[in-house]
This record gives sequence, C-alpha cells and structure tokens, in this order.
Amino acid sequence: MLNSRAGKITSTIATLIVLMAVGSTISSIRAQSSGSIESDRGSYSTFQDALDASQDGDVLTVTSGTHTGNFVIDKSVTVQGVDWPTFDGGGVGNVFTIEAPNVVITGLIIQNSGNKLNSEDAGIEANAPGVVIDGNRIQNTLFGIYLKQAPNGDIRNNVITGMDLEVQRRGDGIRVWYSSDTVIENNDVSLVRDVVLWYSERLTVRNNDIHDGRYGLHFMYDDDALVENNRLTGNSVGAFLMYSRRLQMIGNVVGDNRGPSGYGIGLKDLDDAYVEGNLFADNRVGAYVDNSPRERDSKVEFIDNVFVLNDFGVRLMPSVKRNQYTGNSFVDNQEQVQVAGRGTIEENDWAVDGIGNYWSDYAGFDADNDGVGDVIYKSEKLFENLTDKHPKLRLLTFSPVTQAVDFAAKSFPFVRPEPKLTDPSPLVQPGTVPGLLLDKKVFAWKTLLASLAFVGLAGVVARIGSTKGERNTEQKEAVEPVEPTDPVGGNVIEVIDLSRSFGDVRALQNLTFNLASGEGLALWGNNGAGKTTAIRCILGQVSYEGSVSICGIDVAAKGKLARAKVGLVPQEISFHDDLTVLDTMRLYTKLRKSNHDEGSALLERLSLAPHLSKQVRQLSGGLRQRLALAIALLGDPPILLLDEPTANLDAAARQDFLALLEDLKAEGKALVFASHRPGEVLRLADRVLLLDQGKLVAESEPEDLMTRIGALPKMRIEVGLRNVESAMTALSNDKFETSANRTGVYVTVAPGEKALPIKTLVDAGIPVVDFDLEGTGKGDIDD
Amino acid sequence: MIDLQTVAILSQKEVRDATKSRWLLMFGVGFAVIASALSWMALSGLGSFGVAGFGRTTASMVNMVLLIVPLMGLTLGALAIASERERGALAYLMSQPVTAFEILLSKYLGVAAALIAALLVGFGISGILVVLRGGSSNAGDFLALVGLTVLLALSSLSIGFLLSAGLRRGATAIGLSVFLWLTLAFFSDLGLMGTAVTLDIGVRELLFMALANPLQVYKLATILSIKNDLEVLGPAGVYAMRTYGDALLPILMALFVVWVIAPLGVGFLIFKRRGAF
Amino acid sequence: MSTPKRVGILLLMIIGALSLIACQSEVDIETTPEIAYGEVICEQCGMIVSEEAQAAAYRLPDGNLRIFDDLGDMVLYHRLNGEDVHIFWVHDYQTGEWMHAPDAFFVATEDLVTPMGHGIAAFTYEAGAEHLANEHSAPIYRWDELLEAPLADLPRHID
Repeated sequence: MLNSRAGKITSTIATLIVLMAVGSTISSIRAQSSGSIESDRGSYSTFQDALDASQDGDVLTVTSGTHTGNFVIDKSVTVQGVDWPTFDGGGVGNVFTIEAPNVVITGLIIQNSGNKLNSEDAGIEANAPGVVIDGNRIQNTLFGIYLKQAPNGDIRNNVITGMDLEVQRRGDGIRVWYSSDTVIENNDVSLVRDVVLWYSERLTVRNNDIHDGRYGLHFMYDDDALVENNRLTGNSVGAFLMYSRRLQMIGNVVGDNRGPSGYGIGLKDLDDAYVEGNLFADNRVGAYVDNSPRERDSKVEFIDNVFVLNDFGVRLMPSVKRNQYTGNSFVDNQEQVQVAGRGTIEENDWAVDGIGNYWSDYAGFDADNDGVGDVIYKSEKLFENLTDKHPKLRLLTFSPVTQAVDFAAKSFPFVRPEPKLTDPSPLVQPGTVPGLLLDKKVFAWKTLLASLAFVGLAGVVARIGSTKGERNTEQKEAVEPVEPTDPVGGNVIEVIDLSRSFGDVRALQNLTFNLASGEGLALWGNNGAGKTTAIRCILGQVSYEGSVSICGIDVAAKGKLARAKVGLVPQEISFHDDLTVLDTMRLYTKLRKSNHDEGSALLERLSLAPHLSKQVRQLSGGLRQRLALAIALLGDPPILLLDEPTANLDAAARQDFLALLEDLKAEGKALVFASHRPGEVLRLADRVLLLDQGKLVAESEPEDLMTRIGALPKMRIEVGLRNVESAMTALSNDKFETSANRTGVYVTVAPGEKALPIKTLVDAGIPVVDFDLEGTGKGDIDD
Repeated sequence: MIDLQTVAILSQKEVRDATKSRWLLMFGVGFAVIASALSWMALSGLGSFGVAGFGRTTASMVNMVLLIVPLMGLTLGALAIASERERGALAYLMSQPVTAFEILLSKYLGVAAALIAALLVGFGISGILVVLRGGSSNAGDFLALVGLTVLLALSSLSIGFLLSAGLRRGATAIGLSVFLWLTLAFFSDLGLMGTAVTLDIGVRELLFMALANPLQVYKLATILSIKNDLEVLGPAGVYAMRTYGDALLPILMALFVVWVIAPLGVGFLIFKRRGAF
Repeated sequence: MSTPKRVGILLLMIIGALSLIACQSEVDIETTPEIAYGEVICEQCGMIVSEEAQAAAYRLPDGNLRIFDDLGDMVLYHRLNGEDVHIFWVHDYQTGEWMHAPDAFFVATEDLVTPMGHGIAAFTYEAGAEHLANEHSAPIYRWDELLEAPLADLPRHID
C-alpha cells in the first residue's frame, strides 16, 4: 500500500520532471528564434507586434533573439535588451527610425542597415528630441546613429562599427544634425567615415574613443561645444573644428592622425576656441589653425597642451592672428611650428603673463631656477626655413645633412633665417598631461625576445671568431683525403714563353724552362730581374702570356688546382701574428685539405713541436720560416717554391734551413727558388736561370755560374813549400779546383764546404799551417 | 665552382680577425652606447606620453643609423683587402689553393658577420632597455628597423670592398672611406639641396637623384615599412607613394639589394685583375 | 680654369637646363580636371576631397588647378581671392560628369547635404534643376548669378 502510493508519487514527480524538461526545451528553442518581448501590455512573439500594441511610456523588454526588419518607433517607448537581442535591417534602409520624442534604446545589437549614401541608411535614425541611445552594439551599418533635428539626445556607451568599405563609401558613425544639447559620451566608434556634428549648439562630447576613420570629429556651426577626454586616434583628422564659437577642447588624446591632410585637430574659422591639456602625439600635424579666430575681438587659446613627435607640432596659416600659446610643450616634433605659406605669424602670443612654452630644441639655460629660461627662444632653423620655401626638400628630412645645415646656420649668422617665432619666456621643463598616453603600457615581450635573440646571435658570431670555436668545428669537419701526388715521370713544371709586362715595362720576357721531380732550379738575378714575377706567374697570382703548367695543370685556367701542387715559402711570411703555431697550422691544414696527422708529423719533423702554443709573433725568424715550410709541405705537394727563403735568417738558422731543403729535394721534391746567394744556389740547385731585367741571360750549372760571375771564394791554404805538390794532387783527386801559390795552394770552395779541403789535406797527411779566404767575388757568398 | 668548405674556413678566420679589430670594437661600442642613450633619452622624455618605442622614435634612430652605420661599413670594407695587401698576408693567402672569388666572398661574409653582430648587440641592448623600462614597442617595427639597418651595413660594406679592391695602403683606404662617407652622408645631400633649389627640379627628378644614394634608399625603406607612408618626406614622398603605391617597398628593397651586390661585383672584378699585390 | 673646360661646363649646363624644360610636360588647359580623391586637399577649407560628385575645380590661365571639395567652397574661394579664371568645372548632380560651370543650372537649398554644407547642386538640363527646385521650393541660378548672388539669398553657409 505504502509502496504503491510511494510508487505513484514517484512516477508523478518523474512525469512532471520530464514535462518540465520538454517544456523548457521548447521555450528555449523559441527564444533562439525570436526571443521574447515583454511589455507593459503583455508578451509578444514579434517586436513589431509589441511596438504596435505599445503606448507612450511603455518599456519593451526584448530578451535575446533576432528581429529582422526596418522598425519605426513612433511612440515614446523604452526598448531594452536582455542578453543582446539582435535587430537586423537585412541590408536595407534604417534598422530603427525614431519618430517619437524621448525614446530610449538600450542593450541591443543593431546591424546590417542598407549601404546607400544617398538615402543615408542608418542603424538608428532619430527625428525627435530627447532620445537616449545607451549601451548598444551597432555594427555593419552605413551610418551608426543619426540625430536629425533631434535635440537633447543622449548617446552613451555604444560600440559603433561601420562597414568595411573604402572610406569615401562609408557613412558616419554618428551624425548630429540640427540637434543642439546632445551629449555623446563613452562611445567607441571605428570603421566609419566621420563623426559629424553640424548646426548644433551646446554639444558635449566626452570620453569617446573614435579611431580609424576619416574625421574623428567634424564640427560645423556648433557654438559652445565641449570636447573632453576623448581618444581620437588613427583617423585622417582627429577633429576638424569649423565655423564655431567658444568651443572647448580639454584633456583629449589626439594621436596617429595621418595621411595626406592628416591633422590632430584642424581649427577653421573658430572664434574663442579654448584648447587645454590635450596630448597631440605622432600626428602629421598636431594642430592646424586656419583663419581662427576670424572675428576681430576674439582669440584662440592653446594652454598646457603637449605636442610630441608630430611631423609638425602646430601649423599656422600666415593670416592667423590672436592665437595665444602658453604652458604648452613642443617635444621632438619634426618642425615645432610651421607657417603654411609665405607670410609671418607675428601677431600671435607665444607667452602669456610671463609664461611661455617648453621647446625641446631650446638651447638656453635657467640660471635663476625659476623654470623660465633666461634666453629667449627663437625658432630659426635653416633647414626648416628651406623646406618651408621648397617643400620638396623635405625629402631630406632625417638625413644628417639637416643637422649640418642647422649647425652651419648657428655658426654663421649671415645664413641664419629670420626667426619664425620668438618665445620670450620659454619653459625649461616639459609639462605633463597626467593620465594621457598614446600607447597603452604593455610589456613588449616580443621585442624583448627579439633583443635577447640579437645579443645571442652576436654571441654566436663572437664564438665563431674565437679560437675555441675553431677547435670545435675542426673536430666536426671531415677532412677530405689528400690526393696522392702522382709520381710523374716527366716534368712537374713546364714553362713556355712566359712573359709579363705592365705597360712598357717588361717584367718577364719569353722565359722557358722545365723541371722534374727531385730537381732544384735557382732563379738568379738582382732585384728587379724578374725572379719574384716568375714565382707569381707559376702560382697563377698574376696574369701572364705564354704557358705555365704544373703537373700537367694549366695554371692560367685552373690556378687553384695547380696551387694545390705547390708549396710556397716566401721571403718573409706574414702570418696572423696573434694565432698560435698550432692554430696557424690547423687553419692551413684545412685550407690545403690536409689532415691533422700530417700536420702534426710536419710540426714534429720541423722541430716546431715544442712551440705549438706560442703565438707566431713570438717565434724567431728561423722558426717562422720552418712554420712556413711546414705549411708549404701540407698536402705533400710535389713542388716547393721559395722566394729568397733565407734572406732574413741568421747564419745558423740559414744552415739548418738549407739542410732541411736538401733533404726534401732528396726525397723527390722539385725545388724552384729565387736567390741571390751563391751558397743556396750551390747547395740546392741543379740548374740556374740567370735573369736580368726580365730576360733569361743564361741557363747553366750552378758552379759555372758562380765561376762566371766570380762568385766563388778561393781559399789559400798554407801547407809549406814542399807539400804544395802533394796537396795539389790530393785536392784534385777530391775534385777541388786548385792552383799553386808559392808555399800554399788556392782552392775554389763552395759555400759551406770550407772545411772540406782542409779535411782532405789532413786525411792525406799534409799538415795545414794556415788558411785565408780571398777573392770572394760577390762578397756575401755565405755567412 | 665555389668550395664551400674553403669559404667556411676563411670566413671564420675573417670573423676572428674582425672581432679582434679595434675598428670594429670602437664602432660596436660607439653604436651600442649611442643607440642605448637614444632609447634611454626617448624613454625619459617621451615615456610619460606613451610614445617611447621603436616605431615612434624612428626618426632619431634613422638619423643616428645614417650617421654611424655607413661609416662602419665603409671603413671596415675599405680595410678588409687593402690592409692585408699591405702586410703581404693577401699574397700568401692567394698562394694557397683558393680562388680570388673564394677569398673575396669569405672576407665579405666574415666582416659582414662581425659587423652585423656589432649592430645586433647595439640594437639588442637598446631593445632590452626600452622594454624593461616600460617603453612601447611593436616587434615588427623593431625587426624592420634592424633588418634594414643590416642591409645598409651590407651595402656600405660592399662599397667599402669596392674601394679596397684597388688599394694597397690601409691609410689610403681609411682616408678614402671617410671621404666617401662624408660624400654619402653630407655632400651628396647638400648637392641635392643646391640643385633642387637653383635648378628648380621637379619632385620626380629629386626622388630619383636621391635614390642614387643608398643612404636615402635606407631612409625611405625604413620610414615606409614603419610608418606605412612617406608623407613625412613631403611632396617627393607623396609622389613616390602615389606613383608606386604598394610596389614602392619592393622597389626600394630591390634597389637596396643592387646596392649590396653591384659594388661587391665590381669590386670582385677589380680584385681579380689586381690580385694580391 | 681653362677655356675649353669652361665651355664644356657651360654646354653641360645648357643641355641640362634644356632637358629639364623638355621634361616638363605641357598642360592642356582645356582638359577636364584630374583629382586624386582621398588625397587632395580643398583649396578653401583644407579638408580632403573625397566625394567626386561634389568636387569642383577651376583652372587658371597658366594651367594650374584649384580644387574644392564643395561647389560652394569654389564660389566662396573665388569671392575671397578673385583670381583670373580660365574655366570653372563642376559635376552634374545627376550624372556625376564634369561640365563647364557657365553651362550649368544651379539649385541652392539647405536640404541638400554637401561636404561643406553649401547645398548647391549643378545640372546640365534645366528640367533637372527645376525638379529639385520645386521639390524644395528653392530658386535656380545661372553661374554668373551664383557668383554675384547676395549672401543672404544663398543657403546660410556661404559666409
């Protein structure tokens, strides 16, 4: 029993719940489609029905939903949206047309009016006084709100977005037409043509954000308007104020208004305008003043405004008079004040009651610390003067030449222009406009990131440049295997008809020679004989006529390939002095495509191993030449080219070095070297090319050459009269050239072999009493 | 054929040499100090109006860059070949299995890398300064400024290389590069002003004449990419915008690229003829 | 300076000057005005000329053009400056085509919204003017009358 009752109750409740759920679902579906409209007369399913049934003073509450059509409100009702109901004009005509006074519209989304400029299609067009349009979103309408002879209106808290059309084809975000005493407050207006306020008195425009249109505000014939605390940014003109009296503009942010006629504000035919505490930033022109004031007994006042980073802070038409500027700050405008056209702006005041303006280009001082500079400010920049006369010269703006020109004018009074204006009491500190900022403060983390990346990138470059970086890369790089030098049976160098001339000077003429592996060839001659030129030609470092081939490679055509077969030891090597021996070797190991092991072996062989960590600048001459030789030998080239290799070495070092070269020659290297030292020639050369003024004079055996030029020294060995004959025989047997001389013999000796005849004699048991050197020919045969 | 490995090795050597060069150090420090000082001054002077940041203070930055960066590029470029030629180091290098082009390219890449690094340090420090001190900055504007400045550095460097290709004295190179800098930064503009005023040439001719100077190309490109307009440059700027519209920036960039490649190309031809001596 | 050098420089200068003169293209002072809408500024009010149908212009005998965003501004500017004008150009209110102002019929009414509020429309045919005039009970002017009309007779805004 109890159970069954309980069961009934349960099932009843369940049924109820289900019904409620279904019901609420149905109602929510209806809300999605048309919403609900509650008025003092009851509930309606369409807005038009509710409107038709309403009477003056009714409140129509529209909860969500979309209402399409063109609605004419001809009763003084309040239309109040809950959850953003949408009113859609369907792309034709006005969405709302208000024909009754004191209509209130609030909380609606109003969209898609027509887009015909002739019919001035609007989101809301009001033709009656006292309308309140508060807190709506008006979007994609040609005109947003149009008050047409609808005074005492109140437009607040709306977000108005126009149509994304070319600016000429857009309508006005707000148009106030013969509608005095209208208040426009806290609206955000964008993507429209203008906000137009014409033929209306006592307007209040406050706290609006009007951006990215043509004329942020356009006043015509509006006396006694107050424009306060608005943001007018990114328009062509922030506010164009025309034909009005006693307009007050206070505490607005006017910025980024640019374009061919971009002005922050434009004042035209304004009388008694009062402009105070505004921020004019980064406009083309901060404030443009034309024919204002127009009446004799009126004035225009600019007080405590900041003009910053505009192309022109203030632009005045030459006719402008009775403007007063006091307490304003002109900061870093390209041109602080410009006179548009010929004429002067003398009849304006740049200081009032001893208070002038701050000028960022003021170069005076304030010794008495009263905040007013002790020297008057004169605007007399020459470049400005020039660009005012020749606007096309503005092309050179930002160029360093502008400073140069201004500097010149400062230094030379005779090119200084007449001052455009003078401020007798310039302020030394810029003023402030508290709370007014053009850019909102945001943390520019992207820029920070980019900056950090830049510093990091620079660090990477520095690391690449550091020796450490070099080590790392070396470990990573795979070194190409060295091509084995083919043991050519024939010549490793073939030079045919080699000539080189600069202008009339023939540095080298018809030189022909060749050289096989293991051979030594000396190029002999004075400075200018052509030795070095020949070497440069062989390396393909200079252009030449004739042909040079190295291991069968034409040097002119494939210089790089040919150079790989040649190691050069210059007279004095110019290394990177701050590199260590090891690092130098590493660099050239890579460059010559050799490998680490070969490099190490060479350093070892040339006794450079103990000096690896020394900087090249710390090496002695001998060690430097050894390093040069080590580098030349990288990649095991078949040819060594040496240009006066021992010229800068001392005797001991020279002997060491020559010994090394002799070994290398014995190992099969072909040696070509320039020299004017007989010692080198005799030890290393198999043949000598005697060059003179670029011509090959003779090709001969080294000894022949030496004899011919009387270059070989003779040694007079004193052996005693009775030993002369046996001494001659012993020496001749050892292939010495000898002649008798009373108690001694003359022996021609090669450099570095002066002990040999003595040894021969001693070995033969002939006592050597004494010896002398004489007839040394060139004088510096050897040490 | 360019042997990239060789180029890499030699470039690295050049970077190393350049980073040790007192010229680069001097310029780099100078640039960083001035860039930071400018940003700092802008922040203290303009920060309270919400207009301190790279997009806003382009003018002073462009002006500073026009003054310093070409001097850096020209001098470093002019020294690059001439001083090594003077020391004989170039002759030694050219006796190695490398081509003239590889050497020139490596030198250019190496010096360019070092120069760009110096600029990046300067911009980086001033960027960090701006952000940390609460300046506003559009990252795109910042990158445009830096990118174009790098291009200006590269073109100045190319012109420096062109000078250097035919010279064999470091001192001559320095002297000539300073003269060329004066010409590009001052004399040519002065001449332009004089010509424009005395001959009363039109804006079109003035614009074309100005664009013969890479510094002006830089200026126009930078202002155009940051302000999206050349209105600030008066009638000639408006003429450029109206005539070329959206093609203007690509045209300027192409000019810039020409100013990087052409002097280097001609420099190479001279270098190849002239060689190591 | 040597004489040949001087002659050379002189020649260069002459060639330069000639080429500059040659570059300046002859303006045909009879052609219809060309206006860069959205960029050019009205000579009288300093605002951007953006509405083609309302724009007006006159050409001076030297070929120079004065451009206005509102027909009324042209009247106003000419009254203030009194320049010697070669041709006045206005747009036909109905077709939007350029026409010579002396050939046109004008209707001035406050009900017409024009960029500077002068409310003047120009018509090629008198019938068109009559239609608008009747609609707003406004008078019809010819160009000479408009230039000389007493201020009080025109819509209030030409002052």
